[in-house]
Amino acid sequence: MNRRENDSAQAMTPAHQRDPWELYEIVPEALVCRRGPGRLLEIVLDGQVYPGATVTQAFPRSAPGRYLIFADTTDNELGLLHDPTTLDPASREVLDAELRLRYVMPIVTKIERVRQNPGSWTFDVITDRGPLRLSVRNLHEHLEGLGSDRLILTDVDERTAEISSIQALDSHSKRELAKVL
Amino acid sequence: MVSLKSRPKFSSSGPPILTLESDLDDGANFCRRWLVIDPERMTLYDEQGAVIRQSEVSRLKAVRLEQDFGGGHLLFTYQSEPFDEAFVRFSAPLAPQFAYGLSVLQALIDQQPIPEMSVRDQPRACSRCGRTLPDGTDVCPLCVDKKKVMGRLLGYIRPYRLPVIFAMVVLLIGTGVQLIPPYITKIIIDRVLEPKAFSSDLLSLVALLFAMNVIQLGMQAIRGYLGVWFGSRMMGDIRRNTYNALMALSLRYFDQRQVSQFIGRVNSDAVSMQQFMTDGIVMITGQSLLIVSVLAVMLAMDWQLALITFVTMPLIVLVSVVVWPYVRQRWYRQWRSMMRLNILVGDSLQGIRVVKAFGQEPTERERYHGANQDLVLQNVRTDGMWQGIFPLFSFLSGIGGLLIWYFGGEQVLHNRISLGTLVAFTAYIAMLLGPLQWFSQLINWVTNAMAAADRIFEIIDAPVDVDDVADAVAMPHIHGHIQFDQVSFGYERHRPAVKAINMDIQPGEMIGLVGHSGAGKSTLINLLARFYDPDEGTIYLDGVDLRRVQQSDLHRQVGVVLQETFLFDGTVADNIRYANPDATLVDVIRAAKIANAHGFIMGLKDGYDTQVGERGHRMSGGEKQRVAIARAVLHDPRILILDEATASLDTETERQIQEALARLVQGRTTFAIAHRLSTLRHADRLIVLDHGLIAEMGSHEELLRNRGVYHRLVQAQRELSKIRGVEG
Repeated sequence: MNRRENDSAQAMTPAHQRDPWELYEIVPEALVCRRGPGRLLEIVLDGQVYPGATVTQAFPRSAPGRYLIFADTTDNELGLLHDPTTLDPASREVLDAELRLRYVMPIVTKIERVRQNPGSWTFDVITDRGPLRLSVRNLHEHLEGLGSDRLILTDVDERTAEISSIQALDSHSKRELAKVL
Repeated sequence: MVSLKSRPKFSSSGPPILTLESDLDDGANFCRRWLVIDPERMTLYDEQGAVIRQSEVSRLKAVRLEQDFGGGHLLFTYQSEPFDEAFVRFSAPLAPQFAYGLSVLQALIDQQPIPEMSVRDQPRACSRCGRTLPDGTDVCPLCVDKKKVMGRLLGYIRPYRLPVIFAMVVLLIGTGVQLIPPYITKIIIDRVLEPKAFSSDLLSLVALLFAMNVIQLGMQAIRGYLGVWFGSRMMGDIRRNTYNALMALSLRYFDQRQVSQFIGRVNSDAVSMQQFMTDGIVMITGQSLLIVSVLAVMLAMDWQLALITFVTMPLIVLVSVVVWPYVRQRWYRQWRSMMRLNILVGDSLQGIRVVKAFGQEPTERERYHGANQDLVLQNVRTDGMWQGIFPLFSFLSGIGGLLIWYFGGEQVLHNRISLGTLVAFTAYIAMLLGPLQWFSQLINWVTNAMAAADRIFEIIDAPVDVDDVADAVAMPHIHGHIQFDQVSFGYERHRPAVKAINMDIQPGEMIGLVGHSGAGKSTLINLLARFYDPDEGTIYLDGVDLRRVQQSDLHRQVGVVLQETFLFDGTVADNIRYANPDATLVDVIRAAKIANAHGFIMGLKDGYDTQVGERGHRMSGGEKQRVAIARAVLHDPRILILDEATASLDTETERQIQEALARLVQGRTTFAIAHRLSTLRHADRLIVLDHGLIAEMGSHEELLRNRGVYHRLVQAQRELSKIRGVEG
């Protein structure tokens, strides 16, 4: 059986009757995402409605926003959506908002100030979710470089923030960041 | 967060039961929100105190805490509404507080009494910065009082007061002696060379100079030796205290951290502290003393000339203040590259079998090469910079010297000062600039040592959460009657691993614990051995609350055989005698016989004297297991715990070990965990756990008849063994 036939055969089988060892790839056309009345994600997949469905990224760091695994409220896996860019715009918007709720990972837009106190560092940053202060004990345990241009900061309270591109920061932010890089 | 910060006035009817501050809105943006729980309703307020949404407790069916990544939300399920609602969102650091909020809501729904906030639920905040303290420590990582740390560090000096005082006296004399040679030079020039006095004064003055050098040499040697002597001793004391503290800490502390980090941390922190203790204290005191006395001498000799010297001093201090941060950064990068390289080597050597099996040596070589190149680069940069900075300082010091030569020379020409004074001055300047260059480095040194000290004190200060109570009950002879009364426990407070467990186990009974992985079997055993204390409920041992039993008595009478047996460095006999070092050699052999270990041990060249552990003889899993059983036999525990003792062994070995265990179990209260259900057939009772709850309890036959969870597990294993049979 070739891939396409396999997919369509699975698409007709309800999720709970599928072989649990098989990965089911969701065809974008078969998926609608919308916001339910209790502010939870609700998806329609192959005509079936799943209120309170969850979405999880398989590669949150190396491929954020892609390879999304959907599951129902009882953690039954519904399938993998490889690339959400081909979803209809309304669904995509809902999906993006849901990922923002599921992954509380603020993206730093500006670094106000990096300060060294005796025995600790304080980062005052502006993120896409609002201002944030991160206090770290040292740099080698809390500042994680992903490639040459990306950084993840985790503070002593396990708050995190991502600098998705150092190059894209304004010059003030770069200057502040240079204190620790 | 139950915050003390200003909060808006809420329009609630009566006093709320609980007010929680959240930090996320419905779109997971940062903002302040307040969840106020009244007896009748929950209300979410915004920062201005306006109601965002409200819900009646009576409409609620269930509440759940849903974990997101880096945050979470409270999910309400209603009696009448067909949909669930995400009521309030919060970031991850607030999860423990909302977990308590959840238990309060649950109690309201069930119309139960409101649970007390346990010590673990309370957001313990640092008294200085208000930041939430991390679990398991009372030391705020961000505002350790540096002065207090220094005070504590110096407190370790106390036992060595006399040698330290002696060292200080030596230091004082040494500094004094250091000041003399330039002055002698001055005398030589002014009294002998200038007037061309051909008397015998020259020889005696040079001899004096020589004597001063010899004394200086001696003082330096004594000072250095004393520094090393008491520095090493103090470090020894600190290391001992740290290790004692590590041994006293509960398993929870280690569960939450990587154990390997302690090895490095204790060692490297100790090294940076030792540097400070041995050289640092002496050097800082010595150099400060030198600066002050040189300044005093210079001012006394010629205050005007002295003032000229001071002109360049701020420049040197300024440069060193500007330059040092860069040097420090470079050092830090160098250190990080070094660490990365070390991790890489450790990694690939530990996994060398995998590397070779998959033929990945070239990749590993490549990785190492990359990291090595990086370290080379960092070394060149750091040390290269160093090579540039030193000449810079010499240059700056040189300028000070030039000024003295010019202004001082002018004064000599006008006969206002003697040539000797000028020469002595230049010598003193050189002495002064040395410590000045080093001064900001010394500050850095102190900071590092303080940081290291403070990390070490963090371990020493960590509270022991399964400590013996003051009036602990001595129980030299345990019968082995165990009761669990409504016991709940979670490694993380908001995720219970076992819930409301009730059981009553008679002395001498053998209990088999059955369930899927993660069902809570090992947790029950951890609670029983008091590696942890229950969050709720009580465990009774012979009718006494386990928390009140002396731990030394408890652990002397509890024996454990685990799946992974750990053999310590030493002989086979040492390992069998681990818990009973006084046992006779005959006892050791007897125990080994019962454990079915005697045969294979006698087959070894060195018999019971065979070295095992890291550097010794490699034993197979079954052999190790039997040594562990022998250890338990010799320990003669009243309560025996077998945690997957026969997993991962072949059938014949398992049979031998089963035989050994059957003898060991006799007359002891035994808890056995096994995945292979057949091994638990002889248990008096089986307790089937499912998602932290007791699903079934009874004998093998009874449970099979019930056709419940146990029956399904047995069926599943039969299927599996059929497959194995086909494969085999």
